[in-house]
Amino acid sequence: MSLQLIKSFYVLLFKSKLEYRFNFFMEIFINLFTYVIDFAVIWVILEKFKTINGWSYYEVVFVYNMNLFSYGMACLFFYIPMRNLESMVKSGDFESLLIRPISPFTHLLLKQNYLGFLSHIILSIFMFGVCFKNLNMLWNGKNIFFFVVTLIGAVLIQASVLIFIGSLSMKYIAANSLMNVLIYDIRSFIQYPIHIYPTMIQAILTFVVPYAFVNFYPAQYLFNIQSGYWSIGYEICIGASMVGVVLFVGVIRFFYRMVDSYQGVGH
Amino acid sequence: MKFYLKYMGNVCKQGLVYRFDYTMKIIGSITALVVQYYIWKALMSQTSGTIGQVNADFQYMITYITISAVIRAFVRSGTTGEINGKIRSGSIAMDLIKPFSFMGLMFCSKIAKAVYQFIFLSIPLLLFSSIFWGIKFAGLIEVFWGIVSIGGGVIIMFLLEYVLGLLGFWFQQTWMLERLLNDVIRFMSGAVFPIWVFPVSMQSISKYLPFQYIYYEPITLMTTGYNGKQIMTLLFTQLLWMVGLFALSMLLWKKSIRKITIQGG
Repeated sequence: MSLQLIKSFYVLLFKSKLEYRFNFFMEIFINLFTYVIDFAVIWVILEKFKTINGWSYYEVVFVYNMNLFSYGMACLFFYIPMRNLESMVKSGDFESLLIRPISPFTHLLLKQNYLGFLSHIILSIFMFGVCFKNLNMLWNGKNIFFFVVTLIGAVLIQASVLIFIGSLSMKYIAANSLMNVLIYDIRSFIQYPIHIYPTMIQAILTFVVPYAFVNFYPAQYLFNIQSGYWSIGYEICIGASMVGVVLFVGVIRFFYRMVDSYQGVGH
Repeated sequence: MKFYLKYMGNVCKQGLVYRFDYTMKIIGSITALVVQYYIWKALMSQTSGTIGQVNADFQYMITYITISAVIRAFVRSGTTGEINGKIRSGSIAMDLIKPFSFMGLMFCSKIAKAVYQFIFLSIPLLLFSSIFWGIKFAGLIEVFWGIVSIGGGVIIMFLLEYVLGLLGFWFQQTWMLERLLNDVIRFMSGAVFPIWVFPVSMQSISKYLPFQYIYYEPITLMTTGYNGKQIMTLLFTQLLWMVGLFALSMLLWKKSIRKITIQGG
């Protein structure tokens, strides 16, 4: 897998995007609009109620934003490939990936041509700026390190979920509806700080689907408040990011195991 | 009429083919409702008595989000996408040579989807909520008129989706318009939060848009109750929107039908 090849894939991607410039900008605009509306919803509600269980508007936005950024980063690379896997398996197109001289996983990643998730990243970086301006946060070296590491961990956790469910579609054809539940419905739990939920749900989000480590626990440390049921601080958050790395490597291996046991649907 | 009923039956059957999809959908809707429940639980625990113009307590809020979820489960049915698909694949030609109105066909498809989504998604949501949390309506008469006005909301929603679908004759990709519409509806209709949460200025803007007549008004009618005059005003306003949107769709249809080119077949 040479760098030359990756480069030419990306050059082609950008060329094809710039061919339909209007569509490309619309993709970005539409996605921006959706999430601007989300921030507006939070604003309207917190304008009326001031806080949610003690967390103010910008704190909630910060939490929301860590989720948005990591989701956008993970999806930029993995959403479309993992999403398309189901229909590729159904139609038999997936087989064509298996006979190429590059690994099916890499090829799958390079084959996509959707950049709408750039808007998530642009918007969340902008909103991070707004949050930093309005929140009193202590930015020493230790905290900056913490923020960067947990953000990377968050991206890896989000990516792992996508890859894991995507890989399942090689065996169980209808994996996309399971993915919908995880990335849209279960993930909607972490749009707000999770201490508003009972202990059971907090436990699930901490130990089963570790979404709480995407935003809530890091934010809690950075704001220096303890609201969750478990007091999870600096070391455990860093540890969880390491677990994110392990998870990520694990699901990629899982992907290849699924490829090995891939039977096809008969063509 | 018989034909339309048969058509509706077939659309229903299509929906029931994918059982796993259905199971996941129901888990998803219940999860979304649970999230809403805890958000409002946290918000309402910090306030007491009157907020906004209504005497809102937690019970009211549970009922509100439940009805909202019930409506959401069946009010959207992808009419825009369906029309766009027909335009792009050219199969709209087949619909045009049938001796039935295209709008009638689309409406039947919409109603059929709404009916099965209501039975298989809305009713479980309603049961879930009333068993675990308990919901409270204003009264039987209010529920009756509420259902009538929800019906009105479904028609308004259909017309909005239909108009966007027809725009597909000019724009190739209507999914973007559909998403814009759904985002605006999410924000302006009272689907996520009651309109009284809005600052006053936005409440008065919202009054002149069709969106709050899909969610907020019917739900308020069912939860806090309206008097006779208010019910009449609500139904009349809905009717006005229907007539306006219907006229718009007719106009668009006349223009678009001249524009249509079917590439091969």
